[in-house]
Amino acid sequence: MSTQTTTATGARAIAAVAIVSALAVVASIEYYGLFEKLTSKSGDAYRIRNVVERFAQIPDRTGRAPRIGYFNDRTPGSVVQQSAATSAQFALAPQILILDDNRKDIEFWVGDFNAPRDFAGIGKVQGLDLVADLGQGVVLYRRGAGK
Amino acid sequence: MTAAAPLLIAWAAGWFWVAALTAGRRAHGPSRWLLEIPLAFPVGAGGGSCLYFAFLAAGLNPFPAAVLADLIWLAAGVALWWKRGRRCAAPVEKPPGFRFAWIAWIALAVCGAFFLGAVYQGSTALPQGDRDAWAIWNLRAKFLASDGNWNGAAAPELIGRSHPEYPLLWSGFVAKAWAWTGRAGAGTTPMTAGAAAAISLILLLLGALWTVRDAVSGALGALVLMSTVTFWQYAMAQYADIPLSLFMLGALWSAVRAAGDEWDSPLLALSGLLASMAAWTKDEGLVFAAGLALAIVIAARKSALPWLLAALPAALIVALYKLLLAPPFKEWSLARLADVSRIPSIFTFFLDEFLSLGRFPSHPMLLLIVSAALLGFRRPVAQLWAVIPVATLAAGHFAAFYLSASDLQGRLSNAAGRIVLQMMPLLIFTLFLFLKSPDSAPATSNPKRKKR
Repeated sequence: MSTQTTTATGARAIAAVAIVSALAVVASIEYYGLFEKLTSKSGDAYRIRNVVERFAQIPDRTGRAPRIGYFNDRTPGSVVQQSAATSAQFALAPQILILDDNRKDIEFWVGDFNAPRDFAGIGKVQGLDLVADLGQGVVLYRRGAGK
Repeated sequence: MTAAAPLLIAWAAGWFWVAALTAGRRAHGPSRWLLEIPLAFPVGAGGGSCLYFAFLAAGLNPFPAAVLADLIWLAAGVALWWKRGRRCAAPVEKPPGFRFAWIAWIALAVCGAFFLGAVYQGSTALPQGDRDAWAIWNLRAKFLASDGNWNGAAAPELIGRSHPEYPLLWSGFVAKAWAWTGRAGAGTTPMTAGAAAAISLILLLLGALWTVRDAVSGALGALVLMSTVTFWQYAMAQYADIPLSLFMLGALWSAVRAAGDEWDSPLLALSGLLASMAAWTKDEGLVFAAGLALAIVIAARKSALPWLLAALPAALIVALYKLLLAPPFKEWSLARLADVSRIPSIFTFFLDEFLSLGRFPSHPMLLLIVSAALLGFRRPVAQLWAVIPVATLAAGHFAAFYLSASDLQGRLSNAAGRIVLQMMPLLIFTLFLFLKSPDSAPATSNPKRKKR
């Protein structure tokens, strides 16, 4: 006949409950403080709302084309370049951003700049005609007949 | 329609399913509600999301697809509940009383209040969630909520910026709510859904352990989860990791409960349903579902059939998605097997993951060790098969890193914080399953005590 032991009693049980309870409360107070500090420093840490606003005119101006081209002026291959493209992709979805500038089938291209530049000249180099400077560094281009 | 309304519809649908499938096996009193309410959330969210995806794939637009998915899931739940869910609850053995349980309840209330405060604060700092939320989960939800471009969620052009090969349950759930409200991209929906998932996970751990063990074990389990700093961190991140944990914990609880009732078929079906939904949430869920299927087939043998049948529909969606729509995933290479130098790096990563779960002296692993040392293990240890899915998941993570074709350090740093977090509720649940229950009465050493 096997003996089953399923309960813990006495001081050990009380100690287990008391220690776990007390330490969990300590952890909660500490984590809450940590969160309070972190959140007071950063409101909307990734500024996604701002990105969405910047690109808000693009869907209507591109006829809601399912795929549009995209390039930005951040350092090629950098994390910043990738982050800018990723946040722009979220803002513009369900339009899919094409980053490959060899794609001749893409009519509209969006330039994402973080400083004022010669937008028309940059487009021309890539065979793109400037359609509109939408402000806040967002520029819409259309593939020119020459490219 | 507010952001919360579609979530509440899904939650209500889930409750009818849970009530129907646990009928006749449910406990009396608060443990019933602490189990059924949090478990209703993944069942409602998962079922509606699977149907929504199927309707989109069949050519429906988002709004009719969302309305139909939720109404059909709700109607099916109500019909099932009407047929069998209203049965009287079976009388259950009164759980052993513990005079000092109030200590744990007070602690739980304090921790819960702080946690809710942090969730509220997190919603102001990350209104669109953390990076992967808008780069992966909510981005793909925007495709699924769009007219005519739903399959953009799996577009190969997204590779490098997102993960178009990932499963779509959580994105589908968010998209369905957006389709209801007509406000695709609004941060309030995934934020509310993420918070609901995190709160449900705490309550489910509490209710799950309460129903298979006792109230104090449930409270201790919930306290250990709330002492996990990564859980706080990810509660407002709007990632799919906490929903994944919710599906996996629900599936494991249902299986353990079914085993305690001679492999009760409806409970096994609930387990299979939730496990397959985990597989449609993240690839890790697929590994877990395979592990749980293996464990149930080994332990239940022929009785495992309801589990397999219930898992079939969502498993079919996963299979069709992976075969027909998702871009090919070339992340793994068998050639990496020869590179044994990866093994120490992976073990170091797991050690760091465990260490970063909290801060000493209130580190959750320390709390688990204290619980195990003071309460001790049950004799004999029953339901050891419950370890198989947890171990399979851990082994799956290890294999994914070991065979990764990309730079190992990059992959490890991308996964940091989430890997052990996904497993934490399962670890807590299985450990407390094997521990003795705190009791005020003299120690039980009863040769004929019913195994639960």
